Amino acid sequence: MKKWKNRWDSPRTETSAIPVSLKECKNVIYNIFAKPKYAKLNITKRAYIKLMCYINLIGDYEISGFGRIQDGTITDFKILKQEVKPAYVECDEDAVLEFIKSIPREELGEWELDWHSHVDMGTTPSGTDWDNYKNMSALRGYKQFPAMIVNKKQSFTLINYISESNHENIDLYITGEDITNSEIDEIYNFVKNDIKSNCTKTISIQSKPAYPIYNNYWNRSNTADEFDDCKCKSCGVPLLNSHELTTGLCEDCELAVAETIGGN
Amino acid sequence: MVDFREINESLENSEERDAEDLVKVELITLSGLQEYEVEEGMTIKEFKEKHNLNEVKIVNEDGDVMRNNDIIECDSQFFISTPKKNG
Repeated sequence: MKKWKNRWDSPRTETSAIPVSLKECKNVIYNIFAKPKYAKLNITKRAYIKLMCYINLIGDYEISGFGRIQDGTITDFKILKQEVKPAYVECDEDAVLEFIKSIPREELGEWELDWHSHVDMGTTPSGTDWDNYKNMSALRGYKQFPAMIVNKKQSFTLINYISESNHENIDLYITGEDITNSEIDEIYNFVKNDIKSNCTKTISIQSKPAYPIYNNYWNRSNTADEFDDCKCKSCGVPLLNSHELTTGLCEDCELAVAETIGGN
Repeated sequence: MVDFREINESLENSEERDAEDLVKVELITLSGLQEYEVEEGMTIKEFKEKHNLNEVKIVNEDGDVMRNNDIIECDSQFFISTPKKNG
């Protein structure tokens, strides 16, 4: 008969290692009592229409970008180069870098709104979204920022992201200025061209009798594939020498993999 | 007897030496410019660990990705980036 152990039966262990990184711990502590930056935000009609153009003109795909906030009012939205899918969207490191370089330094702090669409689905953040907010927080020096998810039904979620465990809702109000039909047309045409220039989607390679391996294979394009061969499989940096090209990993990632295997 | 003049001189000299060994690193981030003072000769890996930037990519002004073993030898300006993924 199995005997239930009481808590005194368990072996006692002793350790001298501190199980958290001091830096991570400090960031958590800084944000415990941090007050939300915004209780409410306004959005101009021009900005709202631009946002609706992005999420409707992209069709059945998600789309993502950053928004500009000036004196408590969302005044503009921009998209980055991105790969769009029905339930996922990704802007790679180069696209984010290109965005940072394209904005005048003194304006960068204003482009603090992190936004994306959920097509026709609810606007609750997914696991991927929470991971993204955590990474974006690191990219912003752990400063809090507003994050917005919208869908085609014009439902939205807008929060102050302070930390993984601390986020507050923000109320949103549309400002009352007039906007003409020609201004709306101008925004519509701008967004249409912007999407054409910056958004790519996966395409199906047609099966060819000579290359049966490609049957039903989904990919961006063969040219992109060849280019990817020269980049690290793990982090995407260009590979520098024959050893890296052979392993497909940069020196740093190869070392990290070896450490992981060694640690296990 | 304690020679305070000698102690003061050695302290001043050590401060001067420390100041000489520090270099300025400017990081251009999504939030704008962030400035750090780091020891000359620090590697990118040490810099990332010290400032909790392990998850981000550091790129120099020429667009080259900085590797972990690269050394910060002088005043430098870098960009930092990470993918934006939503689902």
